[in-house]
Amino acid sequence: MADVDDRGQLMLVGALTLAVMLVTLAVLLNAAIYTGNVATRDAGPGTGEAIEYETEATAMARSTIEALNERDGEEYDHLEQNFTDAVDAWSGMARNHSAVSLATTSVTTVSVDFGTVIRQQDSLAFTDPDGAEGWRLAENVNESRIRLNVSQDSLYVADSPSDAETNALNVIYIDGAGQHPLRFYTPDGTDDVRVGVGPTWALIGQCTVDPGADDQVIVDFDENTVGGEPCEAIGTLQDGLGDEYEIRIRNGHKATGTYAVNVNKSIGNVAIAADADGDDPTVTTVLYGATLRVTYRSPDVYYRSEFQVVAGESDA
Amino acid sequence: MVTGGDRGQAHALEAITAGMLLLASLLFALQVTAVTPLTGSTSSQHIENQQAKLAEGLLAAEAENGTIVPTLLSWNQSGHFAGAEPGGFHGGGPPTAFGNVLNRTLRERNIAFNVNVFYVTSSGERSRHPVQLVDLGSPSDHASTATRSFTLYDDDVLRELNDTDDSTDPTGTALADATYFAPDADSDSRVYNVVEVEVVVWRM
Repeated sequence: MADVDDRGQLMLVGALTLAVMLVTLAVLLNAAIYTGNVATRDAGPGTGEAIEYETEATAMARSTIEALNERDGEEYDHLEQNFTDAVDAWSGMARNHSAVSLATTSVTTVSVDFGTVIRQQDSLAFTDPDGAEGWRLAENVNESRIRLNVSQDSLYVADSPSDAETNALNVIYIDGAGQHPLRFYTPDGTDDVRVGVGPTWALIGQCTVDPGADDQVIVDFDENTVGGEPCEAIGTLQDGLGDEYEIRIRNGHKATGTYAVNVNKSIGNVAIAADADGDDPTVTTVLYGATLRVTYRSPDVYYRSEFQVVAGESDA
Repeated sequence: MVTGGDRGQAHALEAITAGMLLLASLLFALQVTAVTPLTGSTSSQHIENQQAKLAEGLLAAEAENGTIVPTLLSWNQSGHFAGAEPGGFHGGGPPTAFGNVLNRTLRERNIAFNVNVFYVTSSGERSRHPVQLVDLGSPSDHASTATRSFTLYDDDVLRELNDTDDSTDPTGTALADATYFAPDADSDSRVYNVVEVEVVVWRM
């Protein structure tokens, strides 16, 4: 035991040590709880709202282009003015709602692409208005979207790709490098529809599909599908095309169906002698697409971007 | 150094000092700990965050499925939503696909919700008072909200309820000709109005 004289000092030092230990424990516990609190706070500067705004603007622009394209025979200036009016009106209205979350937003139209659609809406042969079986749809085209709906029993029955190349319906892209045909025929001995992609000496691929009960097959060159099934060969052929190309049809009398060909040239540049009001196929003005600029500014985020909308494209 | 006779006082003083030091440090330690925001209770921050994310996700999924605009368009022109009382639905979601999702996601988890719809008035400003689609009461102090905007066009048609399968059918009345809670905010273009749907969620 310590001396009577030193007991006080001992107790004081003991008490001080105990006090420091308690305070340290408390500080540790505090640090742990506070870190937990800060770590689980709702983090993020709110970039999700900017993306939501752009998504809604894209949906609005696409819906407006499609609605405007349903009107036939409008002048390009009217179409552009209507589109710009709709975008401006939407931008003003949406700004009211964004202001409540302390963000300034706007959407403006940068440019509008004029296009033309060559359309056959009744199920007829793929011939031109005068009945010719080999004809040119459009030339000097940069971008196009083609969608055909053919009936299987109207197709030529071929026993080889070269037979199909000569005698079946061919849709041909012609660019600086040569001809890029797609053949539509029924292979001998089956009831299927086959699309042969590429010239027979350099075949890119073949897609065959059973037409089902209604005997119709939809071939979509934009989504690269044949009867709903994916056909990558079509996409490969289109990716290999040059900047400007021509679209032709050969043996148009060897198939019956409907189609729509959208090209991004204005109607004066499309080399086809068809009428907006005449018999099928008809040619009419449409908007091919548009470029819009979206701006979203909030205290934490400044987002500005341009995006393109193309009529008829799916959201995928 | 004190003499033998006063030793007791010195001892007592030491003990008191030591005791006071201990007490003071204990009090200090207890004062600085941060509690409550994360303790388990209905007002916990975690739960608020979780509910806010749930409501946001629900709105995003239903916007993608296209069920919200048909529900907004089922208005019966007499001043309230089809099938509801004048103040909105008081017992849960509307009998449409969107209402079913609201009930299954929120009400079955004991989360109460209100759905408010803000629109743009004819003077070009946001409406101060929303139209209530669902009104389950006043939200608590710890409610969270999620919002999303939708566009209505002049050629959209009003819809009516289809009781057999909880969906809506189109009627023949276009928005441009109908009496709707939102006015045509811009008569020069085909955009009719932009409405914002706000879902307020809180724990019952």
